[in-house]
Amino acid sequence: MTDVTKSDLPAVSSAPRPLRIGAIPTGVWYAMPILALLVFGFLAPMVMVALYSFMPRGSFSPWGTPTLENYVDIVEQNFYISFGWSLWLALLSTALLLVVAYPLAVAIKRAAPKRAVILTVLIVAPLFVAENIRLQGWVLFLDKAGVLDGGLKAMFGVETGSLVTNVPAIVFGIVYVYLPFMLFPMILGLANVPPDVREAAADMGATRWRMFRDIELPLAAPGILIGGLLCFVISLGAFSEAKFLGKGVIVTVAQDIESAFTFGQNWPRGSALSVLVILLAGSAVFIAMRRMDLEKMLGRRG
Amino acid sequence: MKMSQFRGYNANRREVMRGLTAGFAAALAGGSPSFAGTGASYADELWAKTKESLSSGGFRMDLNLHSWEGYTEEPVLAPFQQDTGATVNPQMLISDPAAVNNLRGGGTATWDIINLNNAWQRKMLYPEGLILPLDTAKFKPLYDMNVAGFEWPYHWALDETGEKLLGMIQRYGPSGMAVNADAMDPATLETGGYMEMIEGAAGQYGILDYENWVIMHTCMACGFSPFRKHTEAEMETYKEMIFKVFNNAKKVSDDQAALARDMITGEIVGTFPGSVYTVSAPRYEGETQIQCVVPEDGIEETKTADNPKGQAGIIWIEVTSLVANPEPTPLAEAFLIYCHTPEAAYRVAAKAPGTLNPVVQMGDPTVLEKFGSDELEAIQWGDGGAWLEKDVTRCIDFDINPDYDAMHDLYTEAKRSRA
Repeated sequence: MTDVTKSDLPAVSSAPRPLRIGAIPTGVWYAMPILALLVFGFLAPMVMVALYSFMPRGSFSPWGTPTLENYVDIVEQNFYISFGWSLWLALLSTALLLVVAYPLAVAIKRAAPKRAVILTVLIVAPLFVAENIRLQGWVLFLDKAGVLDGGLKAMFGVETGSLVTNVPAIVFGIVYVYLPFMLFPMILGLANVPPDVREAAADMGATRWRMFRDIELPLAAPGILIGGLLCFVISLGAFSEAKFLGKGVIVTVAQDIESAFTFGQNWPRGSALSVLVILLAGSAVFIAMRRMDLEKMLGRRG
Repeated sequence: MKMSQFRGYNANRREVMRGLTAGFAAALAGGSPSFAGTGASYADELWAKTKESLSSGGFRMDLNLHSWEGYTEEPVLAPFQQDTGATVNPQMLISDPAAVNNLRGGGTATWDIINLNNAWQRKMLYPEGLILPLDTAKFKPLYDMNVAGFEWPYHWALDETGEKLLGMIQRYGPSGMAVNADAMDPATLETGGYMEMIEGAAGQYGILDYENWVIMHTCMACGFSPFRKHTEAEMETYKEMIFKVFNNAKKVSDDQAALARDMITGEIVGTFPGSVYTVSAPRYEGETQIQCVVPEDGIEETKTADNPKGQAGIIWIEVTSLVANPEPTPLAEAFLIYCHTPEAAYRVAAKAPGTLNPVVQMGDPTVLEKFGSDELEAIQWGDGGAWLEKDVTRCIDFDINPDYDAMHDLYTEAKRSRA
């Protein structure tokens, strides 16, 4: 028997050879259903909205002569107010969600499995009820002669009056509705924090604040970042909270879009507003992703 | 049968349906089915014969209905479905303009029946080929059921030539303002007009935010009709007024039930605008202090020697038409007939969710006697219909606003400026 050295073997690429059917790799074939869904369900509507945004007012087809009049109108009219409110509500709500959801996520993460399941179910359960119904429930609870006002009056003779029709009520609504969207990515992020590391840090005399700042926060950052981005983007399009709990105290850009597409019958302007919101949300995601190295945070790269 | 199942219908099937419809028309014209009655009796007989003609089948058995809430609910649809074996797919409207543009955008291939406020049929839908005329010989006798002012020939149900019948009329209602009579004397609004709410009750009223109606009533508050071209000076007046309307409002909502509740709890004194259809539900629940009020002193351009006070409110009437669906079904025409039977007319009026409305067929005693006193009280019918008639005579007919685009821009600016 002779020794066979590596150099005697024919050169073989270390990478596995991709399987192919014809000229197309098998993976691409497998991806076809989701690609088709993305093209027809996501990309095509986006393209239609973008095309409509360049159509003149009164167009109900995206194939007319393009114009910038919708964007000019948006700049010339006071749409900055609704954009400003939507942006502010999204930022404020996301910040509040971070503060509210973090302790809850830590509690669920550290709870015994049985208790964690109960907590999770309690948080998920409201998602099975339509958002509008839940918000209407809060209106009936917080409004004048509602459950709270009526209950306090009946029991203690104290009246709260209406606690809706104001901006804090809208913010409350957004935080309430979107809590699960922040909480669950955060829990996944906290799963990246090994208990041993915290224990080691504690043994070495680290304070709770230092453990949070130097250990938990960096390791849980991917989940926190994803939760934050998700909440920011969906809060930017918040509609029902301002409608039901705000009762017209402010107008969000989502309400402007709805008005343009329905009573305004101005599909091109509604589309132009939608494009601007998409760009705003896309920019936020882009900036956040540029500033934070997700791959590194996920531990895939040193 | 689901909608997808009739998409594949071919020309042969269409021929069959045409044959069915033609056969029915010929039977009527040929005199073999004669009609003994008039008004409600005619409606019942016509419906019985229609059911008989449908029994042979051979046509699409689903009916796709795009309408306001009166026609989309089980109390109205269930008997029709039971009698014909049809499957009715209703979709409620969110606004007249949106529905018109749905049809323009290809909705004729989906819908069989469209129910909108008047004016759209005559001025847009029929000229654009989106709806079909009805068989006048068959439907004209049904107009004998109607209350005074809605008899044949009714302007908004006919085309510009007055020869083609474009739809059947049913629900209607005057629109002005709504008020809680315990918080604000309705007589104040009646004599003082819209400014008693906009300025007199500043910070205490809600805007019922059906956007086109807010615009129309703001024009009336300005003192001119919304339904004609406006001068630059009038547009400036409108701009000033719409900003005032929003700045002085306590709340803005398109939920008429929520605003009615706010009126009952005293959170607001009234709404601008307000109509019989927005107050009828709380009135039916016994909250009869909630009222629709139409100011008595109208805008100058409506004042005539016969009507020196003019008109300050706006009356809407729904017209139900056959959509020019490329794959029609005789069920569409049958549904229009069915809605004129006394029981169905009553249900259309009184069994919609969250609102009760008068129907013009209440001019026929057989229909009127189906209403209970609480239902008549809810729709502000009054003694022998006098209360409703008084408010109706104070209204101009709903129409299309040629300056709607510019006014809607100002409306949205005013709404945003509240913040």
